[in-house]
Amino acid sequence: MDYTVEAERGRAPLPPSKRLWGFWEYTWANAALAIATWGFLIGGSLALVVDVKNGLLAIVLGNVLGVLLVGLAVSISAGKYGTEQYTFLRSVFGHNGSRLIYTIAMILLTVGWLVVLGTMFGRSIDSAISVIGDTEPDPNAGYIYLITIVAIALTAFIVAKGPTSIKVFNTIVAPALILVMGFMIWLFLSDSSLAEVLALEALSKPFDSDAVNFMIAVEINIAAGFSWWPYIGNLSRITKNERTAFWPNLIGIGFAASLGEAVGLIGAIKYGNADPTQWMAETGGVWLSVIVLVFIAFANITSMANILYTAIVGLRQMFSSWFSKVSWEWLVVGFCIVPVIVMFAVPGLYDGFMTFLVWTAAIYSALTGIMIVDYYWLRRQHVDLKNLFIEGKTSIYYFTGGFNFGALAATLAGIVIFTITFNPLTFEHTAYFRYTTASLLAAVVAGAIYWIFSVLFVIPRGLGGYHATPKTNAPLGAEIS
Amino acid sequence: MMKPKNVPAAGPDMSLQEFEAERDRVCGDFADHELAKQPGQLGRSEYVLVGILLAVSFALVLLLQ
Repeated sequence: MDYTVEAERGRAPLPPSKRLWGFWEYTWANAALAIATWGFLIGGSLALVVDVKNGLLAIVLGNVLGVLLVGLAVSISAGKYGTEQYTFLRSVFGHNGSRLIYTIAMILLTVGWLVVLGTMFGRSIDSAISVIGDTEPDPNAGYIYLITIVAIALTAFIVAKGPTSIKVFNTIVAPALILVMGFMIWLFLSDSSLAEVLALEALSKPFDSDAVNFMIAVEINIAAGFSWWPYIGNLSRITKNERTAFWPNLIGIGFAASLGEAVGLIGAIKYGNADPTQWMAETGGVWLSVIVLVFIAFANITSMANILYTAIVGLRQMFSSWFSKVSWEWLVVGFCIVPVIVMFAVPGLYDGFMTFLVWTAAIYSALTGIMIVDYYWLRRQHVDLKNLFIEGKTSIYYFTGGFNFGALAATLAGIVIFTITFNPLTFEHTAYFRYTTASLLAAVVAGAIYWIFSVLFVIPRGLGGYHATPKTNAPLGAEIS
Repeated sequence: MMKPKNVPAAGPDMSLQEFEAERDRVCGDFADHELAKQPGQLGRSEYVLVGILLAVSFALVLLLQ
């Protein structure tokens, strides 16, 4: 076995000298992850709440808040130690707790995203074919399923080749996508002035209070920022250092996602549809539209490749005893069968995209708050790497039965606070929602409960390795996963 | 000749035991340099900048309602 290959795939810390991505490579990777049809759909959903001017403000402010906090929670430690995100999470949740979080936060959601993005790919290709054939696109046609399977298979092929192929794909597609976004904004401005575009009114306003409507728009964008939590840790670990792991999030994800959302927002109000694959044909001309639509289709593939890679890296490490005999390639193929099954079993998944997104924020905001408190306040940015890889009671991160119940309780509290404060399905909210948001409040409450629980119960019992970073005496080999 | 820090010592044909020993060495290498400032480590001014960005963004959210 090759150390670097195994480390890239999550089984060991990746030494800085072996990491692939510099500042701009990671920025492109982030941009490739962020620019997909989901950005257009998030922007489009804002059109149902706020006008263009307030929507653009909500996009920028919400993304800055969400992306910076998630970056603090997962990217800096990943850039420092080069450790797989869910292996690192053992220092917070314990070994079994980390497996639990991985199963909830990663497998279920990644499967969901692969279905959603694959369907988006299918619809983009369908639109491109319709433009050429001068026919009406049919977003619900049966052959969309077939194209979605092709998208998942193509993604599996890229990921099976490893991060080098993802890097090449990102570096080509991401800059092209930013140009495409710029072209779309030019289209908006080709028959309207900037002032006219900014003056476009919302399609609807769910509440009489503009303040509440604005806050819902901000909440959706913070949720979008938090939704990167399961993925960017395992991408950040491929970067050279902390600085390279952190700031590109703001440029790559923050800027790129904002650009895509802005296109979706304006498109939804101006042309009545958030998805450019639906209005490009009318505004961009035939061949130009086809080129843009194909690029948008492949934007979904880059996002799928990035999230699938991070999911497989985590899966391999979290359940190493189950999959130790399975090659990387077969693990990728096996994982990709699940979304294909789910696509047929849960046909409404695509249409529930926004609800799905905001519900995920309930989990990720709590996890973000807890990780920030643990890494910066309780551990002062020092973690014993060797103990992260030791299975069983000899690890200082074993906590109680492999679970840190303080972290689990704080996560649950954060989710409860979120759902009490804001209902993503109906937009019903409490009176204080407009001052706190649901995501930020959940992060603060979860972090505070975690800190109290740790100080009162965990640290005094000598659990979690908070007193020191002792060198383990456990023998290497059988007990180390 | 000195071996560069953080560079895996063995070649591509490692046994499981060699791989685990190498992982242990890399972990130890990280631990040895834990307290020293590392290349590309975020500085205090950058954390202050992050704090300001977060505070200003949230303040603007409240002010622009």
